[in-house]
Amino acid sequence: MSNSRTGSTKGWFDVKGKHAGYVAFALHRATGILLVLYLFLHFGVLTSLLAGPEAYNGMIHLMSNPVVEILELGLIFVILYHGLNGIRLGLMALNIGVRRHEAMFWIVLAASGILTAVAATAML
Amino acid sequence: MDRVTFKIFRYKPGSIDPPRYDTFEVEIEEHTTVLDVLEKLRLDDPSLTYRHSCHHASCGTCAMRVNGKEVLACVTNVRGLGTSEVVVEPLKNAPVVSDLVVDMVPFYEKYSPVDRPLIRKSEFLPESRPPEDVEDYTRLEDCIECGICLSVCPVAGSDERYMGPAALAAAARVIQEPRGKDAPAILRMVDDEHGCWRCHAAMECSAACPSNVDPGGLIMYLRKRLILNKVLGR
Amino acid sequence: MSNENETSAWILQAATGFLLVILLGLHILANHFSKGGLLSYDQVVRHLSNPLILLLEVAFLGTVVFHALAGVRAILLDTGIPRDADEKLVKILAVVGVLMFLYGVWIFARLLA
Repeated sequence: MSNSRTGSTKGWFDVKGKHAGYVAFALHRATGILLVLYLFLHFGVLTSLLAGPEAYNGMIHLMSNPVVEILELGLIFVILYHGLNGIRLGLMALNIGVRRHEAMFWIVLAASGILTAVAATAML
Repeated sequence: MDRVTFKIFRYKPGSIDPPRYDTFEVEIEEHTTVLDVLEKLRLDDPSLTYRHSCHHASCGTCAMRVNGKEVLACVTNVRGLGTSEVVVEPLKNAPVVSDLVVDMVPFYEKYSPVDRPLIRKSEFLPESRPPEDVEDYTRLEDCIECGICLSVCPVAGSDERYMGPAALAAAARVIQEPRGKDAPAILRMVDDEHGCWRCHAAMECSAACPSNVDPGGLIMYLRKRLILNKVLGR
Repeated sequence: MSNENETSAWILQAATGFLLVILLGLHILANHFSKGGLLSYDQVVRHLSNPLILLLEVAFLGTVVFHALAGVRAILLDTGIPRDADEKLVKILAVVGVLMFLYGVWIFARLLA
């Protein structure tokens, strides 16, 4: 029987009406996907090293602008969130802190934000 | 007496297809529940299809989505929702049979391999004292098999093979309290890429469960058991 | 129905994840604090000529490639692929992972040649 109501992968990011743990999962998945894409991008960028000094230095010059710096800050937040929430997930899988998992999420989110702000000041 | 607008999901394969929402103006009182409204509406439209049985949150059959959240309709007070418009939809992650009724067979099929016993000996309320002529209370497992946990689970939506929170929670209960069942075999069964390892700890199941099962917590318990067994070489 | 390797797969994912918190932290700190920065080709070569740095980068490379591809597997499993598809997927990802790792090592080798 047809079912237009079964969820799909889009359900992963449908956080309306959901609690903190669901948001934590959605963010972890989103940051994970972004990081995989970034990994391939990073490999691409480093390929310019093979083409010699002019190629690499030219690419660095291309990337030295405010837009890229803002993107780099975004990347730092993505890395921080994924890593810190990953630790939270590891603890939960050992049945540690499961009762307080929502509080742990807020701590992870706050720490990610604060450390990103710290990185921002270091970059400027 | 208040007037509330109900928008109810309608779907019948072959006749109301694709699905649509029917609008009803309803008068409600202080204690009116969503299920009360459905019962009243059905007097005028006998084709409105939904499931219900006990009307007191024990059977799990009236589980559905009200204003986007999974609830048991029989104990959902309409005025308590606080909105002038109420949207009623079937559960997610299960095929819709008709209007608000979903096919629960896939849910039960995930459940049966776990062989869950029904009567538990643990977690009695300390103040519970049976009457004189009763030797002891019989405590049943908490799960009322309503399907709400499966509806809110992000993985159940995308992975049809996933055992799901209810079946995994039942498996955990067998391992915590074997009651003569083959607990090691059940533990091996959940150690599967579509078993407990597909859970990503969203914990929405535990938040939405109307019966205190805490499937998310029980899945974490299963994972700890499996990890320790592997690391300690049991 | 059970797959006795699945617990190990998860333990590896968690372990590499935890390792990455350290390695990635060191990777970013080393890059940020390397003398003069890494904004020119020559600085990159000088940076990698330090054997400790090279060791860090190779370890980081292997760990991140593993964790990323295992993560891709997790995402695909969430879409409900059956066991036989998963077995093929693992083989494909293993090949991709080895190639990515070797490519990275090759870039280092070329820079230091």
